[in-house]
Amino acid sequence: MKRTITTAILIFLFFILQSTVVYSLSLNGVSPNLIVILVVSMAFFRGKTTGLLTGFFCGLLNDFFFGDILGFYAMLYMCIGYLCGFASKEFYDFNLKLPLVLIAGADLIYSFVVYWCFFVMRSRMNLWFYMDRIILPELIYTTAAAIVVYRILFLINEKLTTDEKRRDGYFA
Amino acid sequence: MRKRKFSLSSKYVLLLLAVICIVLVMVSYLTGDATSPVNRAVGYVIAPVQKGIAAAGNWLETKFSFLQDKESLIEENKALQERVDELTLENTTLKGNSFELDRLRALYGLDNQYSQYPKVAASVIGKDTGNWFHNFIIDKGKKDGIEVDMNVIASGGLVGKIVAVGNDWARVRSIIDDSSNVSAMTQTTGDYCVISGNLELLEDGEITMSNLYDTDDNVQVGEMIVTSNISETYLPGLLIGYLSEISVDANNMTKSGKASLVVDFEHIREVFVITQKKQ
Repeated sequence: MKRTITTAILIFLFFILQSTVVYSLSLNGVSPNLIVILVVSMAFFRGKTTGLLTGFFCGLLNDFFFGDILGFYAMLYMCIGYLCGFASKEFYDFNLKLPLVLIAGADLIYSFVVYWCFFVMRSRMNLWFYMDRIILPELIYTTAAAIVVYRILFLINEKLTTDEKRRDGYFA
Repeated sequence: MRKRKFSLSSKYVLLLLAVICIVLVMVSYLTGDATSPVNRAVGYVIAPVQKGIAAAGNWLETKFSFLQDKESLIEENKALQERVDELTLENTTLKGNSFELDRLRALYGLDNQYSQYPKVAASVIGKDTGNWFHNFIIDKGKKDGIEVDMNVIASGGLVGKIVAVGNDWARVRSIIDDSSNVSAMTQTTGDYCVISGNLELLEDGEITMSNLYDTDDNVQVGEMIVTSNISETYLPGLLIGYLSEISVDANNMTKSGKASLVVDFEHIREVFVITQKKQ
């Protein structure tokens, strides 16, 4: 219960930060994608179901506010969450390498899907320009932001896990 | 392990939600505007928080500027004082010119277009979450008489139009958004063209101009581009930018090029929504 509420608050918080403060941190018009960090981290901590649910609700929120097609981002983030869930548990550790690689990969997938669906479809074919101008800078910036943000999320998750363990201990 | 509360496999959850997504996508395709009821409900929660955070961000920014070095402020003050003297002189000359401008305006039959429209001032409280699109959220909505398709302007130029509206928030699509198209015309010759947002030009503060019919070669670089009087949603005569490049298309009939924007889209904080819609 506590975990569900925390996750819901995190989803809201990340969406609001992404749409307000993060914009003023943009370098050369590119800002990091915190939502990808949240979805991948949750999937990594808790597995496929949590990953896809987090992704679904993050995406849905984005669809309501900024999307023209309701359900598009929900689907995209959900798939990202689900796929990253495969890497959870076995590798779960306070080791930054794997989550960073996952976040970078997820951001790349996200960018390519958006590029494909909204730009290639309108015959904006200059892939190299978009790579150079948006996809790669966003990838680097997101991964850099993840170094800090992932740690914070990790600590929150640790706290929740110890709380749960303690509670289980009392009632077992 | 303790027993799980419910053991729905992740595969089924994925499948279920995917079906929901697909249905939502289809519904929003078919109806065009399926989002609005839910949209509004979610907006009740999000918009006030966004507003608060945007305000906090602005406050922090002003606080940071207070922390600036005293020395640099003194220096700046000195420089500014010089600038004031300079500008006072310039102002006197400009005042003289302004008389002439008024006279010429009257002669050309141009009047100050913007002042005649009823406007509502609004602050930007949120921006698009990705790097691909240029939508933003403002803190005024239905309650303040804002409706979909109303025009939005800032610092003397066209910013975009309202595409979605909630009770006390609204979403604006900027003209620099890659999917935006505006029917425009040249100010002096009245030739129609299309202005479309293009991410590839945005870095230079420019926008694509195309489909300009100008068989007499009247249109020159530097020409003012305004919204056309045949546009469906844009009011006529709103300034978009100045033509910076023009060339004849391969079909030898139309011309295309670029226009430089008048509005600084990177730093939009305050906008005006024109509450009069094109009939």
